[in-house]
Amino acid sequence: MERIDFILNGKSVSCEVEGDEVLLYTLRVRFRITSVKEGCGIGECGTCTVLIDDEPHYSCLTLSTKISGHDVKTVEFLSLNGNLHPLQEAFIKAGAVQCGFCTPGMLLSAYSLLLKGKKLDIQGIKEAISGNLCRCTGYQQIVEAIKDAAENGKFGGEGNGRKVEKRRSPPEGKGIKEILDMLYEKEDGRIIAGGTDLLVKARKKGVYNDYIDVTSINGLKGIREEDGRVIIGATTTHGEIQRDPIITGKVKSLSIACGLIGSPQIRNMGTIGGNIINASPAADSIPPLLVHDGVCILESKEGIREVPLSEFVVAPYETQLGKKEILTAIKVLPLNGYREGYIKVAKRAALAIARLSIAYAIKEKDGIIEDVRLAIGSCTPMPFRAYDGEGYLKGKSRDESTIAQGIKSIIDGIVDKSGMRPSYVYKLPVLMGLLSDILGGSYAH
Amino acid sequence: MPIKRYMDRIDAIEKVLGQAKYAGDIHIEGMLYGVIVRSSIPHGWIKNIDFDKALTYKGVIKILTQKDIPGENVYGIIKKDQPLLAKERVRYIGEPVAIVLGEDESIARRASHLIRIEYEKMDVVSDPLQSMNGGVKLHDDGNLLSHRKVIKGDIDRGFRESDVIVERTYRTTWLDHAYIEPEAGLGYMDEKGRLIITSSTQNVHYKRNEISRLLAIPEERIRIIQATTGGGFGGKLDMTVEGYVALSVYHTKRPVLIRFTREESFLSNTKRHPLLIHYKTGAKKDGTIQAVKVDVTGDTGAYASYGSTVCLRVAVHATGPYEVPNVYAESRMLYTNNPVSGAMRGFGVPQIAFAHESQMDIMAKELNIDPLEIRIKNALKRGSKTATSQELGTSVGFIETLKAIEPFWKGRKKSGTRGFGLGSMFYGMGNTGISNPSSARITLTEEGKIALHTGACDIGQGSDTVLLQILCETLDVDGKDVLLVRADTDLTGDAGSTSASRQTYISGKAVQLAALNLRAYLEKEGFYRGRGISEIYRSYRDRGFPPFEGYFDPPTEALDMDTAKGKPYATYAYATHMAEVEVDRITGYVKVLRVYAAHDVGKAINIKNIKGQVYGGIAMGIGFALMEEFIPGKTESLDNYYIPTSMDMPAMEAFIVEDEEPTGPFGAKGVGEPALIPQAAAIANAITDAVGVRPYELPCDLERLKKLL
Repeated sequence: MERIDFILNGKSVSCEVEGDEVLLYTLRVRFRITSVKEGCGIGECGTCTVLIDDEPHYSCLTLSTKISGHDVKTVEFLSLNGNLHPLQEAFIKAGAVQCGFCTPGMLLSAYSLLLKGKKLDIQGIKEAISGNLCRCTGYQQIVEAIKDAAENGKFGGEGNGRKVEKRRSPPEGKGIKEILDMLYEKEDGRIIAGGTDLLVKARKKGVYNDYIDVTSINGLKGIREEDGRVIIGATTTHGEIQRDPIITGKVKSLSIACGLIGSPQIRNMGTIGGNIINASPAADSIPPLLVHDGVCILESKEGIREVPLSEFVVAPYETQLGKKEILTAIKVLPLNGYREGYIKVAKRAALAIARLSIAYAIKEKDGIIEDVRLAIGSCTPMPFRAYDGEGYLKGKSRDESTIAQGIKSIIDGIVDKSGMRPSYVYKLPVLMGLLSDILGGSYAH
Repeated sequence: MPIKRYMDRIDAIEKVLGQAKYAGDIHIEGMLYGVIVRSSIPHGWIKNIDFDKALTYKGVIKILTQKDIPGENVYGIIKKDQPLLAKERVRYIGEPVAIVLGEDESIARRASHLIRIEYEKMDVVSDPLQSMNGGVKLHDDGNLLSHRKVIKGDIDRGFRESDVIVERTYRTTWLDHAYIEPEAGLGYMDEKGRLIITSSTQNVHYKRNEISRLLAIPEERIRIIQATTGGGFGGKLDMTVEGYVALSVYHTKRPVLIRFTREESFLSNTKRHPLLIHYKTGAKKDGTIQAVKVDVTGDTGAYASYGSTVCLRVAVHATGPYEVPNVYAESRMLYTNNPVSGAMRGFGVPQIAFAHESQMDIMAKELNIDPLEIRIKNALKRGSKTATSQELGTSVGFIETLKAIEPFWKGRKKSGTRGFGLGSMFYGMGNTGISNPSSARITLTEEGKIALHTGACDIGQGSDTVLLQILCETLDVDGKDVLLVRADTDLTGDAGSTSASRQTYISGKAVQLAALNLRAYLEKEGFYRGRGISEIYRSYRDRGFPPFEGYFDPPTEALDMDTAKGKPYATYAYATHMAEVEVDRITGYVKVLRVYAAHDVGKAINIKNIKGQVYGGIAMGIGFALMEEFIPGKTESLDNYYIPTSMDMPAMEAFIVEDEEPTGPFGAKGVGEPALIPQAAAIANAITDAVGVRPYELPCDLERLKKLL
């Protein structure tokens, strides 16, 4: 058991929790706050949404040991002063509540959006609640309610006119050395970052792990430029990467890809390091990182080593990471003057796994392809850089036959590498179509 | 115009506050947790069950199997063929075999993984066509659960007299209700030794009856209370957790909570029936439909559930909302070793609507007639005779729904890979050709309130609010004067299930009738001249109140067993949807951009509720059309069963048509299922309009559409 202290709905609280306990359990069982619901337990439905430091998170995939020093809000916070919050009033007025099971989580996602104080359009509202499933309403009256509250609601600033305790600063972070020591000490120690993949696996396989949280390591989060490279700390979240000015400027496909991962909650939780270590064939961040010649920086007691990402992932869900080693950062090459983007093909518009993905960066001058970088995900067992095709295209003029030949060599390369897989009946024609659009210039990001 | 008395949803405040208690939120000190152990194979004999490790697991209190069931180990809403816990044989993956009861949930769950079941595997039937041909026998009375025919006119003559004949085959697959609240229920013994169960359910009285038989205790010893219910869509009509909770409380005498995880919900709940539909339509050159011949084969899975209901409803609705002189619709429902299929919003009609609306558009194209025109031309109207030869007398607002959509249809502008499609439907209110009454009772309270007692379960659709509005409208009183006592077998009479879009229409009528009784009394007692309810209550208390009761059973006639001639429903709802889509030719991705939906609801009681139903129905229809597919043995949870997110939703507009139904309360009919029924069909037609290829199988997802392009 471990003791945690945090702010819950404006009040300091503390309790003892198990190492593998999730916040959903802590809130429901230890604090008897049942407005936080379990609809799936794997971060797909949003009924367990809570605000941590005012950002929506799935409490079913948040280890309770992580929240010490943080501010946690559940829907009870909205009506702390005994009155309905303008958002709650708007939900009632618009008919946005039917069965009500999604309502507390939905309200919290909406509240977090309103706190940002931005001007809202329908698309922005839909995006903000895209991590909260509703089966009854078709979302229309929910969107209307949020819009109405934003436009007409009177908000009393922080806490909506209530006295709340400010959160203290989070507990001091640990040093890498300390974490490495833990890793060496604990036989079954398992590194966890955002938890959005690991805790789902733990649930599905019914295994209970002794977790070592790397998000508590000082200096592992954040983005900086150094010696002509962009260094992304391993525990930087998808949301932080999506919005970071360095990334949106010089690693654009990565910004787009991170913005398409899961839902707002997942993007607030999941980290780039976790995405790489999980090494899913459908990982959204990997193709853009390949396009930018990503290099993994790994640290253990033996020292620091650098491994190109293209070699680091060795098989689906398998990497070169040593048992007692930590991924600390990923180093990428910034690209300027490129036409760059990321395309994700998926069955639905949010909370979706890529059926196919392409990251691309193309530099042209006077109709000549000076440089082209293409990485394809969710197709072969591992995402890959299409070096064969790139090699063919580089230095040639961008005409139809060149493009066709370039695409052919990419497709041939795929079939050579992995044989004809059943999914290729769909994927290869789609890939050809998308590549043709990308190289032909139809996708101009 | 809706009725005068508007009310915001009465349950909304506790829901936005997070205070509404769903069954899984209830906590009683000392309660046990139950977890169901399920079959891992689709078909086989149970040879041995090894409990040893689980029984000695710390915190495990008891493990129950079929041997522990004191009464009859069988249940089923229509046909009693499903064991609560497998006897010696399992017939599908996920069939319950045992219950593990532990001091806390994780104990019960971990212990349940320690139970080893040995099977002798049997041959598996996974296709209804294969099931029809015999071989493996799934039940003693054979593999054919139900076979129904709807016959009208002379089908051969109909086709002979047709100028164009269109014949196609359509397929749909298993869908999951995916209500956001997984099934849950809590039970305990009260101080008098009565069994009390509060659960997430669509019908309390039916469940009391089943538990009485399972436990061999009289119904008076059982009380079922509906907890706040997080969606149902048909999936909480069958027994879900209630039987297991009841058995567990019976044996332990302690409070027991059973709540399904999402994974258990997917594994155990009934699915939408996959249907294989052969459809043949004949029409004259001018577009008049002459003949419809339909042959449907459905997969009901291992047990009956609502299979026979779906079988009949599909045949009765096979023509769609059109008058067809010659009909031969035949429908069969077969047992297989697949998941049990049951009731899901529309009882098979969304599937058959996909077929009849596709046929309508194909026929329109063949004859070069506008899709809207061909629908108007053949539309059911007053005086029309349906396929069961029922003459429609009142409330047939179908053409008005088409007219409501007409301006948008005429104003559509096709460009690129954008396309437009129509979908229409009719839907019988209430159960098919059988009695399905509801009752309501009103009492006065000492505090001066008028209390409505109804057994109707509000599962999120809003019947609590609608029934109170009907009460207020009838009595001419405000919302603050009334209160609701709901869905509790001790305190409310039977209102029938929340299904078949029947609560506003049938229970609403029962409420109106009870309220009219009360109104006559209140008039006599001077209420409308200013005498208060408290005073009236006090003056009458000692003499005893007359019963202010209402009872309504819609006037239907049983259907002929061979031809289904008769009056299956007292009235029908009608609707038309129009969808605009954009198709990505490269990826096969379909984006639904805009939907217009017009519904004949008879009379609007609560416009916001109606629109909420319509928007929600559109969402479910988008899921059905484009992404939802339960694959037995593969689909585990919401990460591989996609339902639409907010980002998948189009701009939507709902229009209300009011062609009043004289038998309904203030003229009202239902809208819950109609909201969904035409949506997938409209999308399929829009895809065809956009890219010229037609989906014959749903969902029309990336792969399926790309294959066609």
